[in-house]
Amino acid sequence: MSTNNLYLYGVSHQHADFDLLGRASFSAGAQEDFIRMLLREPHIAELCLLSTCNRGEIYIRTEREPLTEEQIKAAWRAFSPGLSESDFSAFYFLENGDAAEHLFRVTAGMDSLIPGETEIVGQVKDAFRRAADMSATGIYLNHLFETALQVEKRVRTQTAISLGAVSVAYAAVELARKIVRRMSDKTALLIGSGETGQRVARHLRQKGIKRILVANRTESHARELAERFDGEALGLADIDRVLPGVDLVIGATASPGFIIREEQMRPIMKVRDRRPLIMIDIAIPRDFDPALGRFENIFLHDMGSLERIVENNKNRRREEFRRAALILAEEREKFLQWCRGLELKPTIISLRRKMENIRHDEMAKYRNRVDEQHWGLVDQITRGLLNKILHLPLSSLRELEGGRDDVHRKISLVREIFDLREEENV
Amino acid sequence: MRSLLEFITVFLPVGYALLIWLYALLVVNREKRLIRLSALFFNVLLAVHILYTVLLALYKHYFPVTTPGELLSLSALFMAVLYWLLEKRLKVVTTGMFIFITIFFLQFLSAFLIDLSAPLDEVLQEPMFLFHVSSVVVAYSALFICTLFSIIYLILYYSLKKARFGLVYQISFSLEELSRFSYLAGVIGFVMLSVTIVTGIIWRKEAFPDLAHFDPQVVVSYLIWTIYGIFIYGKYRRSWSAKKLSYLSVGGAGAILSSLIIVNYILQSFHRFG
Repeated sequence: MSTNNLYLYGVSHQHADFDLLGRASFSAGAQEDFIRMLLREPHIAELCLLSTCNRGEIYIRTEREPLTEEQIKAAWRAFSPGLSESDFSAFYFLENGDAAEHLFRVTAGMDSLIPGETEIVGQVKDAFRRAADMSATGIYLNHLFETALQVEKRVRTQTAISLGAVSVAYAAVELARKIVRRMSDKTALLIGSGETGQRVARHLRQKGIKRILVANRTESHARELAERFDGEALGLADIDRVLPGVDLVIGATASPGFIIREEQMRPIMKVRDRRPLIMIDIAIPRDFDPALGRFENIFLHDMGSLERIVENNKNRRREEFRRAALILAEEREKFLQWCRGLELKPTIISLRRKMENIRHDEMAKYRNRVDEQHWGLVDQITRGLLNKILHLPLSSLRELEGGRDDVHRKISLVREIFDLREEENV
Repeated sequence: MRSLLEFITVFLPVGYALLIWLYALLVVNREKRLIRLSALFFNVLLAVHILYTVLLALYKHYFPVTTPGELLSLSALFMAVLYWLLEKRLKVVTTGMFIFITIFFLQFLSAFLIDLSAPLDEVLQEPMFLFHVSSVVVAYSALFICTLFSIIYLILYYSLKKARFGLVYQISFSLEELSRFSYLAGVIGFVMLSVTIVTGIIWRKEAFPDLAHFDPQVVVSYLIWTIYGIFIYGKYRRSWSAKKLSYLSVGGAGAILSSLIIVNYILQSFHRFG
């Protein structure tokens, strides 16, 4: 009887620090060597190694022979000499349904450092492709990983797990879009060259902002940055001149004092005539005078605001985990049902073949007594009769419910009753 | 036809309650299938509501705008139509829930108040009267939407000013869009209220020549007309901020509400319904 066992052994940021994750990780070359070594084990039928900066996990399918945690641990240790015995206490070992559901959770971004992030989808795809290229996967893991990717799509579309910005830079863009409708007719001014400021500018460009102005104390640096964002370079002295026509200002300098003060803005706000101005201060210390927020049409936000948006969005995504878990549980059940079907297949084929052989043998006895004209009719009648007789047991087998042990017991019973031998398997 | 009308009378509030549920799901679930289902259900419900109004008109032999039940149903219909147009234009579905809650309550009350067998006074069957009442329904529905968007605008404005990123921040569209559509609805409401006042003056002279000019409802209507007149003037001629206009619109809505309460329940007015 065919018995498929799925195992997962691994470590992730949920249980280990980054030092341990670093020591447990595999280089690209080592990943291939590790896969090759495990494939040499006779009872390992398929495997896939998922190695990212936040996790290292191996998914293994064995046939007939079970696999123990100790066996996988020993193999892992052989490839990661930097790991001590105590490090392995952070590793987890899951089997069958639990292992499948874990992969679904990982692929849907529910086990990621940033909840609902999508980078993991690409990493899962890459890991699977690498294993498939090495012929390390077959029908079982193919189906498992395909299901995981479908589950990920389902979770993302049916829950709000990926909604809302989860990076400070994108939160700034999200915030701006709550004030102005479209970016295609707006102008942004980036003051300074801070990394987060540059990321905001990059997101704004992706959202199709009309114009980006880059102001810097050093004009050559401003020009270099402007080129990067397809923008226009300015000196700090030009800021007052351009502010009346700007919709979004990002402060990202290392200046010890304010770059824009309240009294400086007063005449500019009169010229702007009620047009809203979004000011995002991501500099430490601040670039914009906090008193600027008193202007009715200035929306002044700092790192604190953006971090709050990010935290809110992360919490909202986490709240969606409960709804996503229902999808995962449903898909896990479907996957296990598919596994049961896979294990039943040889028994069903054997049973059908055995019955068909009996029919053939019996019909052969009467071959000479029936003329050619009626032979076709007899063949048709006996075939129909056989199909009808087999319909009930085959349907019952396909609808088998309960745990794996129950299913295996019932399959064994059917094989015993009909005297189906292993060699009759297809 | 009566049993069909009775069935739709019950079906419509149930349908709008279902629509609230579907649109609430859309806040967290952006599955294309659900978006399509919600849009389809909204279209079907709108078609049924229009059919209901037409059947009611055929059954009663007049345009159904003379009793509180009929007026509430028509207000709900106009609000649904206005929101339908807005949704087509903006392609943002997350604010629909707020509108449908209002529409549901209007239709729910209408289902209780509507009387299919009530006879109609002859004077209320005149075309000028029907036009007068229809225009006031459109006017008040548009002004209501104007107010609703103004309220959302103010909540979002203060959320952004005080860096509080709650539910409205999550589901609302931008301040720019809110002020634009609030203003658009305000203009529609103002124009239709002007039509209402003019047709009211003409019809009153023909039907009730001896009636006093200072009916409380009429006075409140002039007040509302003035408030929304200032609203449009402020936007066009004085470039008032969207925040100021939103406060004005909310004030106008307060005047509508108080007028309906005062006229219908406190003062004995010519305009009293029912």
